[in-house]
Amino acid sequence: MTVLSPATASCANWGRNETWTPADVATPASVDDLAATVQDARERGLRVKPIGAGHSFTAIAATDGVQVSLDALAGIVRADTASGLVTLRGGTRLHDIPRLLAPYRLAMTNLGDIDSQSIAGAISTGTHGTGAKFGGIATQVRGLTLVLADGSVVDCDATREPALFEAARLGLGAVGVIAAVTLQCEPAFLLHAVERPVPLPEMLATFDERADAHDHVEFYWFPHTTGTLYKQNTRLPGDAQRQPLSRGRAWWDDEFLSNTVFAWACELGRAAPAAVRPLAVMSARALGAREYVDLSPQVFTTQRRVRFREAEWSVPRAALGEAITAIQRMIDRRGWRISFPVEVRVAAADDLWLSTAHGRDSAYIAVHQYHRTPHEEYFRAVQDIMLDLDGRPHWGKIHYLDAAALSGRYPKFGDFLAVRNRVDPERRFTNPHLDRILGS
Amino acid sequence: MFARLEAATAHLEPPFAVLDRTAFRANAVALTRRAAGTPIRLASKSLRCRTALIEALSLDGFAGVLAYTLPEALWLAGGEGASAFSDVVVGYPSANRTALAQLAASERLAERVTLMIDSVDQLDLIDQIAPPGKRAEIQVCLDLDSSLRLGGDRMHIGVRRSPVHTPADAAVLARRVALRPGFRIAGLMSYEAQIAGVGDAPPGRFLRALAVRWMQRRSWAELLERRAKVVDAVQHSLQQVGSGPLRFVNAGGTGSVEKTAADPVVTEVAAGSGLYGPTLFDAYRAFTPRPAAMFAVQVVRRPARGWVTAAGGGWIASGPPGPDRLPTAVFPPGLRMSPTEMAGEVQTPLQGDAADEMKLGDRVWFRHAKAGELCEHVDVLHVVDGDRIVDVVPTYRGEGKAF
Repeated sequence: MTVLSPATASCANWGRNETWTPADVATPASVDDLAATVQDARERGLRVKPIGAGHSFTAIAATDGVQVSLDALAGIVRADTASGLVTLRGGTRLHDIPRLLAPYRLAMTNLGDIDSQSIAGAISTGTHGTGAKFGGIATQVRGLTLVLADGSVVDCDATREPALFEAARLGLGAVGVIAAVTLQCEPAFLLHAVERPVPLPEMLATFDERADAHDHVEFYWFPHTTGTLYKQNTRLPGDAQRQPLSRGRAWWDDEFLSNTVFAWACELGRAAPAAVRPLAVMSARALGAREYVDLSPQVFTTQRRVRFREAEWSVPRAALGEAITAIQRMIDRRGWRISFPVEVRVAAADDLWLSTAHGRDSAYIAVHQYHRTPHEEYFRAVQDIMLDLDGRPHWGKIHYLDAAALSGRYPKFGDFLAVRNRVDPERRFTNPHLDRILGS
Repeated sequence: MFARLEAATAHLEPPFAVLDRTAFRANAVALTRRAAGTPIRLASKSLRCRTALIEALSLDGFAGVLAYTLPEALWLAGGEGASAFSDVVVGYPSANRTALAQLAASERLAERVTLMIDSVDQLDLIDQIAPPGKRAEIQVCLDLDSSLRLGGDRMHIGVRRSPVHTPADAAVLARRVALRPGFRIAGLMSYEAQIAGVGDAPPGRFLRALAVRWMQRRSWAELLERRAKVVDAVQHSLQQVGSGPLRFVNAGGTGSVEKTAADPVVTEVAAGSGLYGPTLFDAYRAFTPRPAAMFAVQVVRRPARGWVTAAGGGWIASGPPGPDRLPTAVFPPGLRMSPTEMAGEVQTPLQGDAADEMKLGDRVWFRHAKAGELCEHVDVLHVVDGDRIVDVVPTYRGEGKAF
């Protein structure tokens, strides 16, 4: 029972830096519908591209063929409290998952700081949180239900169709449409959050130790200042005592300062670039120390209403200090005014074929630019720095590399392409962006 | 839209009812989106057509049926191709001895059907009909009263349903049920009628709208807290006596899907009317379903300039009698009923500019005020896709069933 609507307007991603016009928009509400939609597109000779929340900063979800909205394919298929295995439909938004898992007293192991994405989109682009002992969301995947280019429905995991599973659990949408995902979850837990300002030199000198000593650490460095905001989350059992932030404090910090005031600051900085430096100094001071204990999803995620564009790079953890110092020098040398903080996180090495943390403990460095301010010069300069440090770009964020430049950075790139050639020889699921980064 | 419907149904003699497949599908998808992953238990009362029920249940966002009588539940669960009806909860207590005996006699039915109870009296009745040990184990669901009590219980806002209101009430009842042989507690239901069933944007009644919104905000805050405590108390009772945990916690209705689904103790929301999109749901701010079910009657006389009279049309909806329970003439636009006659059982005079353009035999299209009740007046729904009829499906009435 698919609702087909002719695309009357063009589509855009959240960052508003990519727009496209599909021929049709289909909203299948069951796996059978999804399969029928793919089959129908095939008969009409159209390409197919699923879309979740449209939160990627690249054109990875763009299509001139059939845009498949996964919005009506959401929710729990089954959940097992004993094993912690939970099967979710592909379109389930991350922010709905805590509520859906609550009756089973389960939670996801790790989350990114934004929770608008669909689970299918999040794993397909390698979305990750932070934690030296933890991998990205795709490492929590134990099984997938895929609709392949020929319209067939396939269940795959480590034993059934293992190569397909390896490719598709971080598959960039190039292998098949993810109808359902089985995640390894764990008993619901609390996080003890500590946030406080730390000067940048001290932060860089001690970050490695902090990352090893605590479960989830990250910091934000405010360009034009030597200030950082450091966040450290420690895992506590689910029956520990909650000490949530007061509603007033939570509103003041997370809504008022981080969204409302920050939006004003970005606009002001755009109108008068000279104001960016003093505003950055103020921002770095305004977000002060705080400490609280709350349910994991509440602590992991934050609401971001100020629209921005983002580039994010993974580098070997040892290269982190060098990367930050290089960015700092470059901003100073070029005289840019950057109003968004630089975000630094970590992840454990994993063996997912296209994971940005494949085979190495990684540090992630994310740079942002307000959506009304040009970003390309800044992001290209950051890319040049990162490439020298063996950087790999986040698949959902802005970068300027092509297949030739990317393939040497992933030992399993060829295996991935082989699976793609096998299951989608006609390139039903491609688009110009995938043609660029994977080859046509 | 009506040009399309007129073309599709040109060969039919009114009165007849149509179901617009595209609108039905769009409404189904809209409901699953509003539920954001929480499964929707389909209220059969709001569809009263097995094909429509199966169509919706084939979607991944829908699971299970909320039936309105036990005979209906037995009919659905026992029917051919009944895989869509393997989980039927009867939303209201039943005292139908024949049906209870039938349920008690069949392992298959007892596995598929869950009874609603709110006191042990209902269990006594079942035990009288078929004593435990000599019948299948009966699954029951506890009905929690969700209305708002103010001023030390002097004011009761909501519906008069279950006597179970507080967490203590629920814990005591759960314990007593769980300790009785031959019964198993499957779930808990709490239908917030004062939120799901009362429009918060009634046209032309701004003060009522403000009062409704205030009541609903206040009631919701109270209910969220109370429901969490009730679920906890019931789970605790079940654990104490060594019973398995609740399989589901059901709540809500078409009018409150997104709100109810956001309550973390709720595992499924009930809905149904949103699929047909009747006029009562025009009065909500959160969503506007597309009209999917409509009926047509025929002009048979012209009593004066500016007037036409249609045969039939008085398909009135149940509930507190009032103008909002009348069907609404939606095409041709601008037709009003006569204040002294309104919608008649046999004749419905209509006044308006369009009347002068109309000939005998022309159709007047109506929408019903409530969803499934429309099907009590017709044997079949003509399923329209685009500008043609693609299917003719029987309603409950068409299958010879009136529950």
